[in-house]
Amino acid sequence: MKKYILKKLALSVVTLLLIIFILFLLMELMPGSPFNNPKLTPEQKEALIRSYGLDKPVLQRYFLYLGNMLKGDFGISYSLSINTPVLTLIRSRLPVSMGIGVSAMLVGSAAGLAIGFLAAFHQGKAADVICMIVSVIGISVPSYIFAIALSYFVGFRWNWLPLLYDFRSPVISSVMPVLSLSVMVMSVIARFTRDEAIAVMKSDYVMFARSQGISNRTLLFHYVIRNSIMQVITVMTLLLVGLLTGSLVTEQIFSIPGIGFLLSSAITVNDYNVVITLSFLYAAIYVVARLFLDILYGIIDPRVRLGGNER
Amino acid sequence: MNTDFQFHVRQAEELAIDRSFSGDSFFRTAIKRFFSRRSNVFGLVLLCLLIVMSIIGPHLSGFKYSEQNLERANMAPRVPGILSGEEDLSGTNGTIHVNRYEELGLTDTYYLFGTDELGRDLFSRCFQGLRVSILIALAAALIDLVIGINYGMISGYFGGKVDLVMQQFIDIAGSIPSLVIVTLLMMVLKPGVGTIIFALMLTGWMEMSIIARTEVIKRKEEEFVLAARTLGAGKFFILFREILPNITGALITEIMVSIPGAIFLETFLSFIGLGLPIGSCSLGSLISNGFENCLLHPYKLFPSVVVLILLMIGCNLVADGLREAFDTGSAR
Repeated sequence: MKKYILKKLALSVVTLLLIIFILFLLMELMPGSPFNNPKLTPEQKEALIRSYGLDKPVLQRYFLYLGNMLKGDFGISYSLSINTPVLTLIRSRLPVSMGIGVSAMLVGSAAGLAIGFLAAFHQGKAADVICMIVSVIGISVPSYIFAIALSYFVGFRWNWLPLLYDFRSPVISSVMPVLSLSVMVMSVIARFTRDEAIAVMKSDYVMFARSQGISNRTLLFHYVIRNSIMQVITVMTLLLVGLLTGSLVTEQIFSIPGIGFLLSSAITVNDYNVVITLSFLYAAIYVVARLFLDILYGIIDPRVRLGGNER
Repeated sequence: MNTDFQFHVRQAEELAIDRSFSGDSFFRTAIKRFFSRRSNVFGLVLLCLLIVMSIIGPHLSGFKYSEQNLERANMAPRVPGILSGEEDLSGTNGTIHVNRYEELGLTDTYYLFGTDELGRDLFSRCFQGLRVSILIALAAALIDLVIGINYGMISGYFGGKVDLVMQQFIDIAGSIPSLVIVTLLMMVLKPGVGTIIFALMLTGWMEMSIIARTEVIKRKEEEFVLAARTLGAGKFFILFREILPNITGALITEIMVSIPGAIFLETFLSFIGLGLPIGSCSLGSLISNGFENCLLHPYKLFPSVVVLILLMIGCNLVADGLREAFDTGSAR
């Protein structure tokens, strides 16, 4: 077990190092420079580039950057908020995005599990059909369209909730972003839960339990949920990536001061360090989530850590 | 010895073939199962309608999608018998009620979806934009077919070191969120449909390759493969002529599953301003443009959003139907 975890851990570290290198190379190819101010003379530009160390060879800068990173120094912002350390920029924004992302995940998963089990227990009946229509719509409609629709009707037309994010009343003004992000989570989980639960309910051991007269509630909690929750957790980890993507646009629509908004504004002004750090952060969240999942699998299902073939 | 118990060869004319209960071929069963559900048929019809509209739609209204007419900017939709082309504009001085058609004296002109701020017909633009989305969907399917399937099948069939290296590569490449790769690519290269397709080429095939690999691993120890090998069939013959026909169901389903993601990618990129260059016309850029104007002229946002949603619903319904028809279980 220890060996398995160590192996996965090493793999994750290698992955992260490679990701940084790829990001670094991509940024090298980026057109334009962070010093786009037309008032700068060529000499001034050169001086700026030299003072930031941008004239050194790629590899040297890569290792310099890596070394600084290990010390917790992610560089400074060139143009978005001049000379502010990237870490400071992110530190104030990350909690906002995390708060909204985690609440969306919780709301969506709770609703999705409820709808999924409801549909599975009434398979083929009206409740099932309605639940599945809702989930097809939820999967088909991108989250930013929900965000636009909510902000137009609830925020602008009916004036029920604040149109834009307000840091003085973070809870009320996060309702709409959380709702629009959670629809996708809800639909995917609902559909997945339904399929899994139906598969479990058709299995022999549930049939056996039924034949012994075990009540429906015990059946649900001790047999169906227990045996289908693992797959649901897998899907939830994958949904995290979808949430990160969705947050990019949703934060723009509601002008939420989070990392998604920071990334999209950094991209438009070529703020190298901010883009690299945030892309790395996104990748790191994903890699850590996968590592967590792999270890969880290894603990629960010994076949995964001993055999190599299945995945 | 009693002759009654002896076996004898039947003559051809005696042969009776059970036609009423004969087994159907794999694909015929799948097709029957697909059409037996109303939601699948609905999705398929929806998709076909949208494809037809993407071909003929831009020519129906008589206005070219790129034709500007500044005099006729911001016209509200007017449909004979349903919408009169009126709209309420709310400003700081209260609400005013306008009908631009009457102001301009256009009695016989109908902009079914209205016009944008440059006077371009939104009906033509909407279906022109749909063309871009369908093009990207086709490209995504092709990428799955060419890269994803081959990569996954080779990795799964050869196993051992080949598999290890190929899977390690996917493990690493797959853990960079495709959003990051695509965004950076769009910044490095010239924005356009070509770049979006290139980005899909880098990231879009991995899921398909995983499915193809799993399916091949499931099949490669079966008797028919062993039989082919005993008869001296080569590796690639076994892989593409023996195994591939047996796993097409799962692969077709996965192709259909990956299409909505590709369509979403384009609209998403165009929305954050990284997709297509200004002036081109796609569902994403129409939605983004409509969003900027939606507080004053909500009708500009409406058609492109509805078309996008219908397209996504159609794709998802067909994908679900295929999954059930081929009985591949849930793909993820």
